[in-house]
Amino acid sequence: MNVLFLMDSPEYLRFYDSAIEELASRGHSVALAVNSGRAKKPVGLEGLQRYADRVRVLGVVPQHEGRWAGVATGVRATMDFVRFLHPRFAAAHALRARIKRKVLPRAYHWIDAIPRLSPWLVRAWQRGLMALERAIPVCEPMAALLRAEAPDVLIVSPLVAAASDQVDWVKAAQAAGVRTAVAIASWDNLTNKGLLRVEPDVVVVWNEAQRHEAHEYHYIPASKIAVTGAQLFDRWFDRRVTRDRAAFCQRVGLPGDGPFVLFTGSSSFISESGAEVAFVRRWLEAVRASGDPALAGVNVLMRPHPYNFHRWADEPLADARGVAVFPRAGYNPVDAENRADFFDSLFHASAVVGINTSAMVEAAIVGRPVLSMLAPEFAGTQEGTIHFHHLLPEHGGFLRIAATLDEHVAQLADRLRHPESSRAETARFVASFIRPHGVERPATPLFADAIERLAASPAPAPRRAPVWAPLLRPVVLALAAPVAIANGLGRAESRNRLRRRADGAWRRARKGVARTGGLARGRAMRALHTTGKRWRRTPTWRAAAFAYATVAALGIGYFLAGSPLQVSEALRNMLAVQRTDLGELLASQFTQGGFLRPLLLAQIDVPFELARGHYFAVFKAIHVAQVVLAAGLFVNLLPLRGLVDALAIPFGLALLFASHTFSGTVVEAFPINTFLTIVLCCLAAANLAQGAPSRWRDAAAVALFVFAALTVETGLLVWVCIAAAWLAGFRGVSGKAVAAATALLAVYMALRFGPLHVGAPALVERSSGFGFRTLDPPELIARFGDNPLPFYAYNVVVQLLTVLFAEPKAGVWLLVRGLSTGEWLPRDVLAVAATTGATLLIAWYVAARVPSWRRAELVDGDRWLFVGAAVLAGNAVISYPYTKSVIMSPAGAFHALAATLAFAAALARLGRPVRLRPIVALGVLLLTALSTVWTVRLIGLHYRLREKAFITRNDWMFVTAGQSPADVDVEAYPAAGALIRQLRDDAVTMRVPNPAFDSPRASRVFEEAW
Amino acid sequence: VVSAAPGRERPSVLQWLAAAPPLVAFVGSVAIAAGWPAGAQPFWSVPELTLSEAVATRDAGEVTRLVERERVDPNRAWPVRGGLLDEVTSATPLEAAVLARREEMARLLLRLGAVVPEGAPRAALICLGVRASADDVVAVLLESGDGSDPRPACPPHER
Repeated sequence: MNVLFLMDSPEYLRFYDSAIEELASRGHSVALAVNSGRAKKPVGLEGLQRYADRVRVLGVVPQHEGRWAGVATGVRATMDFVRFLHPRFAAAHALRARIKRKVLPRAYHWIDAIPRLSPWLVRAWQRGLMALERAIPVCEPMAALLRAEAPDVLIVSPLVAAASDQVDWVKAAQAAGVRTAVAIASWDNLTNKGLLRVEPDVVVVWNEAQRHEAHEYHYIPASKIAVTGAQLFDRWFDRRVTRDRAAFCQRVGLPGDGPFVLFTGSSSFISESGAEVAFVRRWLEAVRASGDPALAGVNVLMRPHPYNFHRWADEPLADARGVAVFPRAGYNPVDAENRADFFDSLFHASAVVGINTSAMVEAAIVGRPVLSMLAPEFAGTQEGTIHFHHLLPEHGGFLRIAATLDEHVAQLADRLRHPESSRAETARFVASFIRPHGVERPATPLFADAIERLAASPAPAPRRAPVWAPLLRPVVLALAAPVAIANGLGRAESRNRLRRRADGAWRRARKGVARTGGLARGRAMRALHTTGKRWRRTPTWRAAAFAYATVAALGIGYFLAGSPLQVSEALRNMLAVQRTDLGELLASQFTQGGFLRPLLLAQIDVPFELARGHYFAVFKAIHVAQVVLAAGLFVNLLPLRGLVDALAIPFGLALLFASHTFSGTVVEAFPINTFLTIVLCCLAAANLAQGAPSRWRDAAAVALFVFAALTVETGLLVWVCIAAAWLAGFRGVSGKAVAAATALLAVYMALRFGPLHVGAPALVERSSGFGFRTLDPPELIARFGDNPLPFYAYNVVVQLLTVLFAEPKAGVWLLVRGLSTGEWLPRDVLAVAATTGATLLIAWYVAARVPSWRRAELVDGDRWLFVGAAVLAGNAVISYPYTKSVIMSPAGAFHALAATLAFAAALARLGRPVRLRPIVALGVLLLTALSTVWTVRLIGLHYRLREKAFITRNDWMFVTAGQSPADVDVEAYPAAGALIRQLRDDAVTMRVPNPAFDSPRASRVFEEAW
Repeated sequence: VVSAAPGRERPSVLQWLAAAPPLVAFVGSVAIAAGWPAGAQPFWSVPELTLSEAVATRDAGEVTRLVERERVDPNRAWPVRGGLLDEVTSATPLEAAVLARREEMARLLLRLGAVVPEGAPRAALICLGVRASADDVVAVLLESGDGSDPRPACPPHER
């Protein structure tokens, strides 16, 4: 295996030296390269040369140059800054300020005025920037170098540096077909710095906490994350001291060989060297002043951070008794002697104190008590960092933290007296955070194993730029233009040149305007006049109706996106499409008894494959898009001739969305809601029928019918829609197309009941409502096995009634049962009152229209009534085998359409110049009451979605591979195990409201999904 | 003949009144949603729960998140807001499962690393379950560990 290990700078050697040696010792060819030399750091390029006898040292690799280099830096820097708008980073002021200071382009400093954004918006913004990143061309010299080196794996670390150009290397490797791994160097990398920005083949992290961070904050699919442990700390586990206590104390300059407390310095970002010196002096004074005998004679060893040394070089503690600073000059942390000194200082220390540094983690490995205190000057770099919280006991950490120096001194004294009291906490932390695969298992071999596994996997195909990349590049350049301008303005000579040019342009413009002013003014006025006339003709109420429908549908979409993917059926279907190819899936669906749905799983398979791991995003986007489309198609069927008609739209959409037949299309998804697909197909067929005749409409109508009929049985209603619409007088779809669809329907029936032997669902297939309760298949067989016709007739009738009156629901007479037992619920009364009211409104409209019909005067609204009646009848007949409200969703949609037409007509009546007679007042009262109850039902849909989100999330916590619905052998299909884990992780991560804190009245008023 | 009003006709007060309820709900929702981009959660606010509160309210998802992601200790006592477990104001997650009589939550907690204590605390926990008539949960607690501990004898007055 050829490995190219690309580190940001040689200082990263201290994280990976053991891993590099392990890979080399396994016989792999390893080449080391860095992005920059970082001459100021103690570990320079010469550090690489130490490995020259075992690995190849490439040195510093080329950088991205040219026009796109600056653009890429700007895009990445903005991405890095935007992450700090996430509410999780609300307290991370110091991190935010650092990213702004270091990399955020001046032209985009205005973003800092945004205090924070919702997680969804941050994610959307970052996703958008990631799309821009993908549009930036690959740096060809990098790809050429990779092709020449031909590594089997490119390991990049850390990739998260601010606006890192390592992203270019990952993209170049992907373009060259090289496997890519990103190694997370340290415990703070995923929350302290920038984004990963690209998706490599694998991300190697230390532990589950980092797995969560990589998934949650960097959008890496769980299946691409490998947890190996912290390989850089392996060296401390089996190490022995180099010097005994006396020799060590003598070496570092401590008096005698008594106990000492080690104060470990932090990096300059956490505690700037001057502030750190001042703090340590304050801390020393508090320790000395405590009067506690445990602290009276204790010595103190101060070990500055290797990269934050300069103020310590002045020997600021030279006057303090029993205190030594060691090392006394800047040092190389990779150097063997310095490592030995570091270990000895941890080993011999009685306790370790620090502000926020990795040395505290290392002290925990050695088993020493570790303490810290909150200091106001370091608030931003202690509690203001996410990684600091990993150390706290309430998050599984080991750190004894104090709010004040006095409290800290007391804790320190206690720890010196009882050092064993922290052992359990430190051991637990080490077992979960440092060596999550077992304290006895070193992480370095696991790291090497992960790289070997990646190398053994099939090489990825060279990735090309997305087809949309050329379209997006002008956008990227346009967004980068302000950066270039701002940078240019930053230079005095550019400012002067620009000012001279602007003055010249202004003079020329004034002359031009004076010469042609009259002519131009005349033209402008005429253009304005024409535009104004056009604007007045624009049907703004129509545009407003569509805008309202879109916003209302997106409102439902917001709640849909707040719920995890469903477990039951959805997981089973996803596992099925994951294991089976499309051809087999299609073929298998022709041999099922009772159901003929060959396209059902195919519709899941295609987005599943295209999702490339982003299953939640893709399937939720489909669901939301379906709801938005349904609203748009519904509104488009309504004759909107004025604002009064448009006023009926909110009422109509409330009926459409809040109906109990529709709620099943949004409360569930498998992961695509097939019933909603059929509602869309029916509404689309109706839209095709109402337009001007054309061949494409004919073709689309026939194709729609075939698609729907092969998706699920209620898809046959598309034929009902186009045939009834043609009979009603709509001619958008021609008679020939209707005939063709009819012929196809005959073929479908002949095949289904003939050669394919699919037949119809039997009683054994489903539970179904009958009377006052739901009967299981055995009960159905016992009662109707000999003669199912009465049961089928009951089903047809109750399905008709449920659309018109919301009673019974799913075959069960809920309200009647409740009234007879005295245990009725307001929600059942509300549902029946609302639906019956809508049906009565339709009946009034029909009665009012009858005189016109007698004169053969038909308007579009009348025709939709006819089509709606046909769909209702057809829907009820098709659902004869068993009852379920959502099956009637197409009929429910047309019921809503008819009621909306009737509501618009009633509104029109109210607009006539009438006196407020009692009958008119009653009419207004009834209409207002009707729209109110439907509004309450609509709010109830939100309640149901919220409850469903809670239930679904909890369902995932009890999913066990091998048991239904995850009944798959994950040993035989590891990918299935990864899918289950990923979806479960998504559910764990997603925060959903807990209904326990809702008013108990809500469940009495808002309906359940039926 | 019933037909809608022609295009430029302005709706009357009565028409507005009849159509108002869903419009009011819509406008109200949009107004509330205006705070959302700034991070507010007007519709689906998620209260911060302690581990024991999550157990008490059967919030298995939150229990898992707190233990797996936030690495909250499943074996120490956590505050419980008033009313969730009657008068109890602090309980370990297993005690919360017992008091809420949630056998599935107890199993989940044990899977996530909660440990049934040994000795007197174990007896106290099981007797708490007996007192709360949480027989299913008591059975789960007795199953855990090596199974060798006999069922403790709870004081008669506690039954």
